[in-house]
Amino acid sequence: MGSYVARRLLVMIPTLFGITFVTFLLVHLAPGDPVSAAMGGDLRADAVSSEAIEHFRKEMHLDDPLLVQYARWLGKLASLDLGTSWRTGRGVGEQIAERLPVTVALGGSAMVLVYLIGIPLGVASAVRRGSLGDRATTLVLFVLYSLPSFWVGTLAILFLGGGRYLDWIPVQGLRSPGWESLSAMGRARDLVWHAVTPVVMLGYASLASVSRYMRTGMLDVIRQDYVRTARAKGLSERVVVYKHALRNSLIPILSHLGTMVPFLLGGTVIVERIFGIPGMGLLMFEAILARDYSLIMGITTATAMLTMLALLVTDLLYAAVDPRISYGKK
Amino acid sequence: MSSAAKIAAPEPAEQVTAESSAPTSGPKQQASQARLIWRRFARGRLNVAALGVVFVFALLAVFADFLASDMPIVLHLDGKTHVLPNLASETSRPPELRRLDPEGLWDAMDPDDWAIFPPVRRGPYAVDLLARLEPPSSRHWLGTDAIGRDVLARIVHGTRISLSVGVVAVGLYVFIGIVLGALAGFYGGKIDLVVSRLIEVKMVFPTFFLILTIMGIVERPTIWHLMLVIGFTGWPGVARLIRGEILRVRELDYVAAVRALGGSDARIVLRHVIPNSIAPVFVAATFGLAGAILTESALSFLGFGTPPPTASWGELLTQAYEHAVTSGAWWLTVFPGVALFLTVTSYNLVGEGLRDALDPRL
Repeated sequence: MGSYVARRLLVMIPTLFGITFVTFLLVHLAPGDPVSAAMGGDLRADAVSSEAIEHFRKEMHLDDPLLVQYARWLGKLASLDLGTSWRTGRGVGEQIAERLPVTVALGGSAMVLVYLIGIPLGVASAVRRGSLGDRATTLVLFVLYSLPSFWVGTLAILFLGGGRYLDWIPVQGLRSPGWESLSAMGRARDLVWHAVTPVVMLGYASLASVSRYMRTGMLDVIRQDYVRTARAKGLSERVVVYKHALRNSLIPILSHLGTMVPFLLGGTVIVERIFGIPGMGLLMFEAILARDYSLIMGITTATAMLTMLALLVTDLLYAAVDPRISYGKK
Repeated sequence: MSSAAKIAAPEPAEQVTAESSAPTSGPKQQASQARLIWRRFARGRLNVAALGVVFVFALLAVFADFLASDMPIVLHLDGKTHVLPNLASETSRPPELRRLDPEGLWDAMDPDDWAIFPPVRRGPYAVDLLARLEPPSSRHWLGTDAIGRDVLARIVHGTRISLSVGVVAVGLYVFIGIVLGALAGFYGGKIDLVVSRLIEVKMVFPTFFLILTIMGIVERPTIWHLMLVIGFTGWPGVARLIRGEILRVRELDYVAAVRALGGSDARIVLRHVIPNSIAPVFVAATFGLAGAILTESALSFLGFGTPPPTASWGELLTQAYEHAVTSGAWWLTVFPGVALFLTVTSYNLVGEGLRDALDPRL
């Protein structure tokens, strides 16, 4: 087990190299000039004296060959130094550490909710395959899957966000004004209340795929001989479905868990932007707007690592759920 | 018990007989195969409806200039007849028609002048400064945006952007995916190693971040950038499909037969292996279209997509978002969103129907 994890972690290194190198090339070969971006946008770049630009370029080592710059970046990464944000002058690692928990909490809650709702839905659909309920569920989930979150988000803000129409949901940030004066309970309630809409926006699209995976997995398992045996023994349908069939049909859904992480991370850019939530997605958005290269590199690296860790955890969960899979022996 | 019985029930007999009679002769078999697939597809009424919606939006995209334009389709003005001035850009129009906005044209027309107008008499760029953020009316059927442009005209012309970005981008990545997947699957070895690694890297990378990064650092993004970026980031899925299919097909007897007959690698792959493994790619491409259209509008929504003033659904939704709380301009949100949602759902439904029709085992 331990050696398997070690091996997997080693395999991650070349992938990480690949991702960071591609991003590095992209960001540095891009036509947009970071100097003008750092000094206040394209328009005012002319006004900045050429010595100041020279000085800036030197300070940021922008005139070195690309490979040298990349090697320098890697060297810093080895000591967990992601550099300094060019625009704000703050450490990239520090900024990510500040924003990451928000995104992980949002994404994590969305994921938990999606599985809590999607798995029972999938099971119910599979057990009553072809019934009206099954077809209705499939259709509704299908529609949800095709609904762009930025549209639903805008609709929610427009109709429920306290403009001309209803005032049901908070639409900006994670805290109400005057948050500091609330009691601990009040703060928690306020936070949850602000997080509900973003979490729903982030998660609803994945509901379709989770419940579909579950339905397919369940249908596969329910045809197997051992399920027939269980029925023949006279066990109740509930025991057959939830005790015998469900466990084995959970295996394929695990593979879905790994692929959901990059999907959710991509979604956070839109959801955090719409609802003004200070997480990684919004940070990425701001970093790209400002052409803040070191910040873009840092976020890319962090998300890639996060995704790879999720894939690793998925594989380990495989072994935990399915005794036929073992990573201990060769 | 009853559910198990239902699952075990055989597929409808019609399919089984149709399929067992399939392996006869070449072209005839292909035609009947296509008919069979169509029959399975058309069994779902929703599938057919979705195909209809896809078709309608394709027509909107192709004939956008005939549906919403500043200029009439035929115009007789001051004794001269202009044919299709609606297709000309403002600068390439005859001089007497430049600088004429829809209202100005109306004023310039004498009783003996005539014109065949498109249903919407204004293009996506015509600004009606007296009608900013106006709700739907007889003058602007779907209302106006923040600077007084007609929402319907912009939706119609936005369809063209959305669909062309989708089609070109997906076409590009299907092509790249097929080539790389075929090389990797057929030859294995180093090519396979490289392609498989790339596929893996792509699996762990949030593609939307990548696309966003590239679009964000391009200095003056155009829709061509969008197509290229989506096209060059989308291929791994197709490559993986084709690679897997080719690994499966490669060892089949008929491939050995072609080889024994002296067929070259290229012939085997292009004439035999790819046609036999292409079906899932069609399905992936249909879903891919939905995805690409979504990506385009999401990027435009964030401000990194189709550059203004070009009309696109995402851009309309950005305006909607910016004015959501202050103006209550529901028409800016609802209509472009419905267009987007209908298109995406329809492509997804068609993809779904196609998959079921191509693979009756499911």
